[in-house]
Amino acid sequence: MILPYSIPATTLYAATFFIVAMLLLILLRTRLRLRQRRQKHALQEQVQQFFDEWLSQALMGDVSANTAFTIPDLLQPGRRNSFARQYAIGQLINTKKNLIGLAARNIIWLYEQMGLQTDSIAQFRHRKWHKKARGIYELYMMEQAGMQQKINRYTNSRNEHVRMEAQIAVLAFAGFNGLHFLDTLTRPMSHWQQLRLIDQLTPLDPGNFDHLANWLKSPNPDVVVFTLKLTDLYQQLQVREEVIACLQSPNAGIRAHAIRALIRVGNEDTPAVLVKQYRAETTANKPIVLQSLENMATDRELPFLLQLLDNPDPAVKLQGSRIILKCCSNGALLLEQRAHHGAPVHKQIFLHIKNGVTV
Amino acid sequence: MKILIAEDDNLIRKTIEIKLEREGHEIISCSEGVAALENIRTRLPDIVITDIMLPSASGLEIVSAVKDMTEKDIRVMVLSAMGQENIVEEAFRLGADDYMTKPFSLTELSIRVKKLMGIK
Amino acid sequence: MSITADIVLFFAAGLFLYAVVLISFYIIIAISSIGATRRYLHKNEYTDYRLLASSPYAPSVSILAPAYNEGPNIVENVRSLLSLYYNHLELVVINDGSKDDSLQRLIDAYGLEKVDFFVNSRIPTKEVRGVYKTRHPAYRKLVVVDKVNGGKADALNVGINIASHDYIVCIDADCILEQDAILKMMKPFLEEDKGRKVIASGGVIRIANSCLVKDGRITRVSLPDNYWARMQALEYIRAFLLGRMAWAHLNGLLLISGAFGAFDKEIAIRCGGYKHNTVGEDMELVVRMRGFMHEMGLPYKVTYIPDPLCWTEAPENTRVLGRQRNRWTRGTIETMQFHRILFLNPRYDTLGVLSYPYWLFFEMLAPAIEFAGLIFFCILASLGLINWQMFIAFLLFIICFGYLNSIFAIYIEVATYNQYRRRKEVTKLVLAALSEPFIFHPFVVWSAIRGYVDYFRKSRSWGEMTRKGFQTANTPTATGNQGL
Repeated sequence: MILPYSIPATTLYAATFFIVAMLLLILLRTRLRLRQRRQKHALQEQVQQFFDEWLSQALMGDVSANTAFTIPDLLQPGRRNSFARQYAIGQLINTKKNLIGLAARNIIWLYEQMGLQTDSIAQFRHRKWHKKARGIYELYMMEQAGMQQKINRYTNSRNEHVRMEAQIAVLAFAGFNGLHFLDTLTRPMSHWQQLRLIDQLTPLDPGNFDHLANWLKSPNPDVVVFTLKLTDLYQQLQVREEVIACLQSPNAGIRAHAIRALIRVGNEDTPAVLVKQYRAETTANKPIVLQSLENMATDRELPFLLQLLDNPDPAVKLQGSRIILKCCSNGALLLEQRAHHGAPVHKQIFLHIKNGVTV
Repeated sequence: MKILIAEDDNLIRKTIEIKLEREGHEIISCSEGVAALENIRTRLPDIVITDIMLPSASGLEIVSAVKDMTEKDIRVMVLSAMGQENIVEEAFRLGADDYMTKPFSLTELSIRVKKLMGIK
Repeated sequence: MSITADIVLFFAAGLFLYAVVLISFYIIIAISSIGATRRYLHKNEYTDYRLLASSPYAPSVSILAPAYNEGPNIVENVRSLLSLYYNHLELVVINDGSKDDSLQRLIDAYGLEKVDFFVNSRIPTKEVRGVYKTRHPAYRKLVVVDKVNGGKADALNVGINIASHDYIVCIDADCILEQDAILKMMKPFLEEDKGRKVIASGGVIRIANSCLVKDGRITRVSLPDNYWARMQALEYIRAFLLGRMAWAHLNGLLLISGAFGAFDKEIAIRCGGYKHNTVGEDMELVVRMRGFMHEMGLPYKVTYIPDPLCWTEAPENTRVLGRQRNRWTRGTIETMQFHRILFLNPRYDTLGVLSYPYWLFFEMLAPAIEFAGLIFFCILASLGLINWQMFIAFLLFIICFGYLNSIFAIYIEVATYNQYRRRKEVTKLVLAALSEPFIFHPFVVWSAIRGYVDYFRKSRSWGEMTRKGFQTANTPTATGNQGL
């Protein structure tokens, strides 16, 4: 066993010396970093200044193909200026995100005039995942449609981030038609990614939903969940049967989203389907079924709803009461009677929902 | 016309500023909520253009504060990236006179501002 | 004499082994935090968090802000929280039986009215006196709860019972949050990978002393002028940028600061919410939630966001600081004590074999071992048994290693978030690090020892002062155990 005594003092001193050397090295690097940061900051300010000046012209729409335009020195192409150019791309994207119309077209014009797309393409070709992802991002933000084919190939990439950006890019270039990547997607798609994809589609006119039914049968559960969200958002009634089929899925997440989607794509038979589903569902999904019923229950479901009021769980009682109040013809009266004759908890719940406390 | 802009993104604020200044308006520019509220009270602009997500006080609070004011009838336009129905609805319920979703067109913005002045 | 020699040998060998393991841990933590931080920064380089603010598919969030005698600032703080725009948001302010006029101030400022509210007390709590809401449409996200005083854990439990949304974000009412704090905090919950459910996410706490604050937001970040606060700034950088980042990476994070953390509400409720009988309720809940997930056989993750999102005022004098550390120590001992079943229990994976033992030996027991080491040293010295040359060699080594750890943390800070931009500030931070083994560290150890004493006296008093807002803010952070 090694004991403190058995280490010669000289070894310890040597180790200490080594640590101090490393310490000094890190301090030096810290200093360098700080200096670099200051230099970068100064550069950013210069780029910013250039944009401020240029902006006032560009916004007025007085730029065109014939406009004489000189790139300032610090933004000339070349490795030396790569940081400033990268920063410029970031600023342009940021501005473009907020603008449409002439001003947005002028921003793309400037991006191309400065040859910044070559920088973006170089990033896209880079081996490192974060550079590749960033390159794709820049290319679609700046509407470089010529790159669409090349980017297309990455929608099922092994790297999560590259894949994410490529999927968004396809939608940015091709709108709803871009959703075809779902046909072949075998890798996961996080909720965050789904949210981004939906956001990308939001400003567009709804179109091409021919494949919804196929996607709802996809072996990739994330594709199914995402398709259920689309079905719901765009109220795609034609796939009602497929959505109902999803209620039988062994995946609880798929079932939950199918239950939610039925609020908008269901018909008069759906409440009965949901009541049946409620009995079979997991504890986590049961409240979701009730949430959906709140939007579509009818007097026919009243016997089931009254059973809910007798459930020992106050949360179920509360949800049940709310559905009765909202959906049944004599709901308020019914609940009031309960409130007077039933346990005190019924009265509290009645007051709670009567006052429209939604929380 | 005196127009107050509450927007935390510098470039966007500047863009709007330049555009409206060229059209001959006087601009008060704020990057956060409480400062905007103060300026509205002290400098009484004719029109307020506000984002929703602002530091220190939200744009919706600004809308309702402006509408609660009795000193002057100020028009408010919300300019936000949030285009969801319920948020737009909320803004109008609070008294917003107009709502524009980002990304927006500067030309459209200036037309809408003119329209707001016309109502006045 | 030979028995004495054996005892001495035993102690010396034990302490030595302890130091070796500790140093190895520090090195592993430092290295794994580099990779994790780099990946996080690359991943979110151009993330547009604002998508989350308005998306119909964003998770719904209830912010829980317990308040106790915060009258002078309560209205300002609530307004600042209301400006954190997020569509599926509800702000629950819990007035924990304040003796001042907190509640009346809120009623006046926001036009609150008492409403009939059915509280489903899934977690038993002290009595709720009333729930208030306003008709004013701009403040419709605000819910104020008035309850009988019961301490922070109880107040948070009431908040959990009342919260109507799927996730809860617990904060201290007097913390200053960045505008995008909720957005950044919620994103990890949408990024479940390999079917591992995210059950909780922690945020970074930064020290707000000496920073310029205007209208509830930090307008200029400065290094604290006060020595004690500055030392804590260093300590927090080290703990958050190195320690927590690495532990989160290994999925072994045990602690989410009570001042800013997000939880899956359903799981928090199924675990029984915050515990009253501990002063370390924030850590205890995380450990319990993790244990629960293991017992249910559900794959899960506890994540952590390194962006500086939450700022808090740190104690500036030894009296308050000492009491804070005293309480942290008791909280840690209590948590370790409640969950001793985890110790080296392979059923709990990383939690049992790595996180728990690490916390036990290097967080909870560190001050005790250090103190024992000191006493041992004094005895040896008085017996003339110290090899002074060796002693000095060891001391130098360990102090320098401590320095290396701190300086490395400062470097990571400069290379990533760089909150202290001026060179003078970084120099001051380095100088503070150099003074640590002689001033700050002994004090922290001493306070922890007093925590032990209090724990064994079963003193669980909170004391009026310590319940006030920010001093309860954070809980133990990985302190450097240089002086060993």
